[in-house]
Amino acid sequence: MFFSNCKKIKQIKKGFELTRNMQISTLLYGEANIGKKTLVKSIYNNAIWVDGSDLLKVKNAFLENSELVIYNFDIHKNYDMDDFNNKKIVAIANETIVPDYIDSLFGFIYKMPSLKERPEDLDFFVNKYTKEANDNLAKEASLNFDINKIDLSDNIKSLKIDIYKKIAFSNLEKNEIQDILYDYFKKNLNGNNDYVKFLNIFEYPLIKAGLDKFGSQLKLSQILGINRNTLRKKVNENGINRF
Amino acid sequence: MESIDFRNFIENDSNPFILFDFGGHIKYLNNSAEILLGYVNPKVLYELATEYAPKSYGHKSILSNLEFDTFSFYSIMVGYEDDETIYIRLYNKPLTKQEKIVSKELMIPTDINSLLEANITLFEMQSSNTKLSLFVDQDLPMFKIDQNSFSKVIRKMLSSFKGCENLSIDLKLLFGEYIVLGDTKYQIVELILKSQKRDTSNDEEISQIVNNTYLTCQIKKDAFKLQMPIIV
Repeated sequence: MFFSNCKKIKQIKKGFELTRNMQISTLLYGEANIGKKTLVKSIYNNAIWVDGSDLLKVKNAFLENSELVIYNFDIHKNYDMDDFNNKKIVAIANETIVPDYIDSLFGFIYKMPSLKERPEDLDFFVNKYTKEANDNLAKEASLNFDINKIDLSDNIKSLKIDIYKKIAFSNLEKNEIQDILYDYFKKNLNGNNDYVKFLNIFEYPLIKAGLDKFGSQLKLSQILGINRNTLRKKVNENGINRF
Repeated sequence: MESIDFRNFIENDSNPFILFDFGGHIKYLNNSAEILLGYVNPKVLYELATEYAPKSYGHKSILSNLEFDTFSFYSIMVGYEDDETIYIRLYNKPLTKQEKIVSKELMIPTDINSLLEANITLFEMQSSNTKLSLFVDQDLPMFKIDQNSFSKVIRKMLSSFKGCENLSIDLKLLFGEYIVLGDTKYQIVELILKSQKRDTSNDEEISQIVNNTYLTCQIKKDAFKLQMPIIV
């Protein structure tokens, strides 16, 4: 199922639907992992799909089919204009800019906005992957985090990883955390002064979370049962510059 | 020498000829002028004649590029032999005849309104602030076009209006005008895209694409007039 609240994407979908039964070549391009394939699949699920990174396969597919979806379409290869005429070709390219000569091949050229450019879609994807991650990881976590801080560097892919991590690490028991740390230390302990080196793995989240929760070093020093000066020193050592 | 009536030669000359009286009323016009006056006000031509008339009785030719709608002229001749009448003759710019060899196999029956709507949707994505005035005829019949080339042309034409304040899009069936292809006469559907100004940098490319199709296109600084034969 394809979903988007973004006006531009709705317009792209409308364009695809209006020309569904026409012999027109269309290029859909944009950053990777933004839903281009899902959009095209919602309209051309029954078409022949071919991987554009294999040019030989693409050339053969041109000969054998009058309706074709080419994903991973390589805009830098040379194509024969005749292959795009009188056929229904939908090419999907992970590019942010397309060269002028590509222009002459396609009747329609759409640029799909990245996830960063469509904040109106974030809620949908966060809810979708939160549910999916809970189901897959047998968890029942409800995420309560700032939607603006989700990792969108790789669009839906990084958002999904971010949510899976958050779900996987939510409500961990002490022994589960110890297991994770056990594996980490076993893999990485390898020096002369590793006690000091790895101490901040405990200290950083402990102090950072404490400060976020209790607000002041004075209060936190009482909670942790350590001297205020000791806490201040550790705040500085760990580069926590809240105060 | 035997007297010859030259009137018939003028009547059927492809260069428009108009004779005005001293008040600017038409006293005579040949067949070509009759067609021309479907597109230009006779007053404009009368003013042209009086402006370029020779100082005294006689005839004068002026080389000048004139364009009225689809008509292009490279010269005019103005003359009078008395104070009662003045004539103007406009000389057609020679056109090279291009025999278009276009495969009809590429042409598929198409709902022109749907295809235009898809193109307009794409344009709206790229130029969301342009105010569109749309006049289309939803009852136009399906007719055969090369869908991919047509879309390329329309996309490029619309793209030249990107950023314009407004754009009028007019799609209609022309009555009484035909395109002759081979031995067959076809009715015409005309698409006019017009604004105050536009980007003209892709005009040559648009011409090239159009030349490889059955379409004909008149390209102006502020508009495109695209004509399509209704091939069913």
